[in-house]
Amino acid sequence: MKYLDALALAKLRRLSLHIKRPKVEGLLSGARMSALKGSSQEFAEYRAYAPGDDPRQLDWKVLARTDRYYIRERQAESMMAFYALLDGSGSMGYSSQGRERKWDYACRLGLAFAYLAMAAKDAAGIGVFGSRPTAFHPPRQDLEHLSRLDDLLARFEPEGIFPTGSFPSEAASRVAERSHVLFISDFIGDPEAFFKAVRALKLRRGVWAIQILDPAERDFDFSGPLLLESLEDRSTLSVEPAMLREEYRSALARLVRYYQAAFSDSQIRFGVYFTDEPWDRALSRFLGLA
Amino acid sequence: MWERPWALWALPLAFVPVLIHWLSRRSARRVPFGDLYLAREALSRARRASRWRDAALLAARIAAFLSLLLSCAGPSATAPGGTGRGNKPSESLSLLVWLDCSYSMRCLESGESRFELAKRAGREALAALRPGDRVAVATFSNRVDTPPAALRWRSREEAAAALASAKPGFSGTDFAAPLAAGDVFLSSAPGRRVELFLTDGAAHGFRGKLPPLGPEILRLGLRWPGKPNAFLARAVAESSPGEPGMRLRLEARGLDRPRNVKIWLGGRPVGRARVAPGSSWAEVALPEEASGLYSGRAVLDPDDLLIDDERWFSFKVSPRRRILCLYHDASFLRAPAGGYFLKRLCGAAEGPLIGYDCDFLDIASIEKAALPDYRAILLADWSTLPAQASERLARFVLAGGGVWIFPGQESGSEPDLGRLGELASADLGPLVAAEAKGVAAAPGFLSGEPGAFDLSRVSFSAYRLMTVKPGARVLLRSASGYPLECVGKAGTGAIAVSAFGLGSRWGNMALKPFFAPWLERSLKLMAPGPPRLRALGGPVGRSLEMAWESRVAAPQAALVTNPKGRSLKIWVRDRRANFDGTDRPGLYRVEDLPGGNDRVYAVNLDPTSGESELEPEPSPPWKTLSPESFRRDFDQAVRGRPLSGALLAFAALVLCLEMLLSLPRRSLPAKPFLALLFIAALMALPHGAAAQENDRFTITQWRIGDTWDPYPEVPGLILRDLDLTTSVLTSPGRRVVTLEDTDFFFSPLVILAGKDAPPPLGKEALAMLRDFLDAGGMLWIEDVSGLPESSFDRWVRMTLSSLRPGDPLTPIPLSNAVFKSFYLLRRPAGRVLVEPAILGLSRGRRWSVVYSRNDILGAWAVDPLGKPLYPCVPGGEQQRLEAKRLAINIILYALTGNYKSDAVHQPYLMRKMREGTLP
Repeated sequence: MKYLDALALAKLRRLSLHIKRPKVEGLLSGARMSALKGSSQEFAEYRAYAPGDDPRQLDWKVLARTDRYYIRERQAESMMAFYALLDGSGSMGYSSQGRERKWDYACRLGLAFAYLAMAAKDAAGIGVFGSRPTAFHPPRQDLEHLSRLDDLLARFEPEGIFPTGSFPSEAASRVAERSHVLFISDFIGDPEAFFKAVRALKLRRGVWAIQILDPAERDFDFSGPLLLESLEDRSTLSVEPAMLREEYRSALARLVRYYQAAFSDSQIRFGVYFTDEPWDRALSRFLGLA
Repeated sequence: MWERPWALWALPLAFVPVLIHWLSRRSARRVPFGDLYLAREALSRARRASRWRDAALLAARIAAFLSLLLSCAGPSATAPGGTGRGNKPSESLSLLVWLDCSYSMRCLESGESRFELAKRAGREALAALRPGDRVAVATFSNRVDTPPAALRWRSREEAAAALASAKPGFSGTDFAAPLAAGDVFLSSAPGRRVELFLTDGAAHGFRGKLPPLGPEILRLGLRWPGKPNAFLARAVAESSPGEPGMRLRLEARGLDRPRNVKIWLGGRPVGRARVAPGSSWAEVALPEEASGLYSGRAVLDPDDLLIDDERWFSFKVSPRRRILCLYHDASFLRAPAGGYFLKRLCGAAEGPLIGYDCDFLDIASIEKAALPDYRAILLADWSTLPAQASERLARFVLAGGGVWIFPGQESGSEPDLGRLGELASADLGPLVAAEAKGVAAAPGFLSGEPGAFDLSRVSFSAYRLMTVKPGARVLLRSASGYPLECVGKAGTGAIAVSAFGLGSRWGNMALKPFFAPWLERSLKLMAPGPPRLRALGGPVGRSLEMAWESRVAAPQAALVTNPKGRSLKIWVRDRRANFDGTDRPGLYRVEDLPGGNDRVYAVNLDPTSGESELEPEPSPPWKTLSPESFRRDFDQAVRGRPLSGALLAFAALVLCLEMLLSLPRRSLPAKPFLALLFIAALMALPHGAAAQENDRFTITQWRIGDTWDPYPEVPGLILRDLDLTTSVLTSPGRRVVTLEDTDFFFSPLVILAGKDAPPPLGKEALAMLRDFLDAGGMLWIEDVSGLPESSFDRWVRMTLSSLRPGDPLTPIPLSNAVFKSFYLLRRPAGRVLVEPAILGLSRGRRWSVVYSRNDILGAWAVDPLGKPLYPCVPGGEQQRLEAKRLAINIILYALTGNYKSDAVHQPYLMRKMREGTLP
């Protein structure tokens, strides 16, 4: 695998994914507690026998002591679907000074989350949204699915503009309800459009959001007159970095503060990471382990 | 105006920033970037400010380049003058420097003479010269010391040496001669021609008619503001009828306030007087001098021009009046001729027997006689009277002298007296034989004479008939009643005519006892008045003419000793000698060689030159420059107002702006601007320390009463020594303040000197003085009277007791820091030792008032030649040295307090010594 090699997997074995979602209504049984009664070993409650109940559920010991028919109900355990949705726009392909591309960084994080989800006996799927047709792999629980996801991402090349307008409907049509979504993007663009797109996933889903930025996008430490060329629409902009640096940094700070406030109000966990930070440390920090 | 116009060719370089800006835009790198959303937003926010900032940056860079290039071209705001042939500052300069050596240049300005300040300005002018410039230096006073033919161009070093060697003289000022000579000299000079007058520009130098001045020469000159200057203009002696001694009358001019005049006679003080603006004459009685020679000096209270506050005088009083007897033949002086007896009576070497000294002179040598020296002339023995001699005698009579005409050995019936005869009281007629013995005196002529004279035994063999003119009084008549002697007025003088001569052939008149009283009474009628008083001396620069009377033996030579003690031998010819070396005022002593009589001549400044009047000429024929800002004014006048500095400053300012604009900030930083504004505000605030000349110390004197400034030059001397011996930064000059001046409170040390009591201080003044002392100020009081008791001392004690009722004046212990703040002193000192200790008023551990009664300041006083003015008694020069050191100590104490006593540095010194780190 390109992104989850043996070293990455070794790092991930020390981590675990704990998603606070007490009730899961998955069709497949898994490690998550289901809102339904089921056949797990966890006791739920007693109730009176009613016709139609499975006689195998009768508590024979209670019947023997009290001569009454009670059904011993057990907690059902279901499997949660985890989706890692990645921004596949052209800007994610940016890297400076030979560092890793934001896209690669996002892929590692997405696959790592997927691995951790599978390790927690959940199903994990991947979706990439960009100007190209959406690449999507529905959740599976087996680890072999992980290699397919890795192949999918490895073959994908980010380009174009992120479709903030069509993303909510398209994602909603593909992402099941009562699942958990992790959206990874650089979030550079109209912040309100981004926020609305992400918040739209929040309906009956748990949503996390991670912003990946290149250090050059943070520091804007260029020198000399530049002609900046956008990787999304190939437009150019003539700037004097020294004159613009402070204003750019202020704009970025305002953008990040906006996301932090908006996601926090919407109870969406949000984290900002830069590609000069090891991805596993970023992962640990996001999971609150570091 | 451009000094280096060729540099303007580099002006296109000012557009280098535009080129760089354009090239930088063209060479922008193409860099891929993720998303331009943030960059666009930042750009949209910064675009407006950025656009203005870009434009401002470009403008600032262009302006900086432009300013630098323009400053290289040497711009000047105004066209320089003196550009006869060209108007370009780049032309070479021909500078003629005139240094005024008149005595008004000795006037002090803040402790330094105008002459020294003028020389300093001259050095600055020389320093302003550039390679290729020419300079000539000449001096002048009331004449040009360097003749035009001797004027020449010099190197800068030679000119500086000529300036340095120049000394102020004692003459007046006349600008006409140097102006004319300068025009002649500069007429052939190349380049721009400038004439610089290092003078005080006083109006007295323009009394003469100025020559026409060429317009092609730039004339510059110094100018000081006018100031009142008191000086002694005249010293006149008069005899006191009925009293021994003389009365000396002194005229002071230019008085702005009452002043004292002290008179020394022969080196000892003999009195003082006071002159006031309303009555400028002072009169002092001089004690009788047995020698009849009264020589000395009178000194006015000093002001800024010291040299004319002193006047020397020398008067010779002859107890008897001098007469001259003209004779034709030497036999007239032998007995029994009357000349013999006349010489015995009033021409003998052992002294005259009557009240006249008579000199005898051959009538042929009458042109050598100084007739004004005589009160009467006896034309006693003569054959013919030359017309020239007659004319001189007539003028002598008309000027107030007396002439007594005796018939001589002339031939002819009626002697021809020429012009003198026209004035005579009688005409002499033919010779007739006497008729009988005896003469009769006119009533009252001999009355009151003790003893009786037998006039009947006087006989004449012959006499001339005499026609008495109207108005004449007949004194003697013959027995027959013919007039034998008469006297009458002629002009302001008198002429007596006798009908008989004094030769032996005329009769026995000279042999009778009647001869002496007759002679004395007749002379008295012709030469009345008091004993003759002769002033010896003259103005500086004029030769002294000396003459020896015929009745005494004339020396072969004389030794003249000038005021500096230098002696010069001069030869005496025909009883006369001239001395031309009167180059300074003072007393010139003349001693006969071989040994004989001494005489003293007083040489003084010439008050008629007006040199002592210090008012400046309102419209001098030159552009006036201020001595304080001479270099700047000179450069501006000669080179024009330079703009290079302003342009460089502007360039620096623009560069600072460029640096600020280049900072990667959205807006200009507020803090640096606020800091700059704060600094500017601090600089613009009234400078409190300005009264103390920034960080430099200057002496502050308290002006109160009339005697607050007994030694005007001493503060400058103290500051000079303070600067030389200590690390205290000093500012030349002194500050004179009153209690009402705010500068009083900005002075760490205020000196109050005096010998007479000033007016008492009021409550408000006492409160202000108390505030000054409480605020940390120190008052140094100096009683300069040198007396055990003085009114000033009483005033000081009364004032201090009012100031601090509970604190008495106590002696400052010798262990106090006052005695070791700089020098380690073991006793008080001063010009005198009136008080064995220095007194003081302490406030806490600090002496806020130091009171000395030993006249410490007087020990510093020097004359214009730098010699101590007063002896220090009883310790001499060692006491003077200690007094000077004590003055330094008091100033250091005022500035450092108990620093030495605290010994804060002692542990460090000890530690260094222990560690052996001392070299």
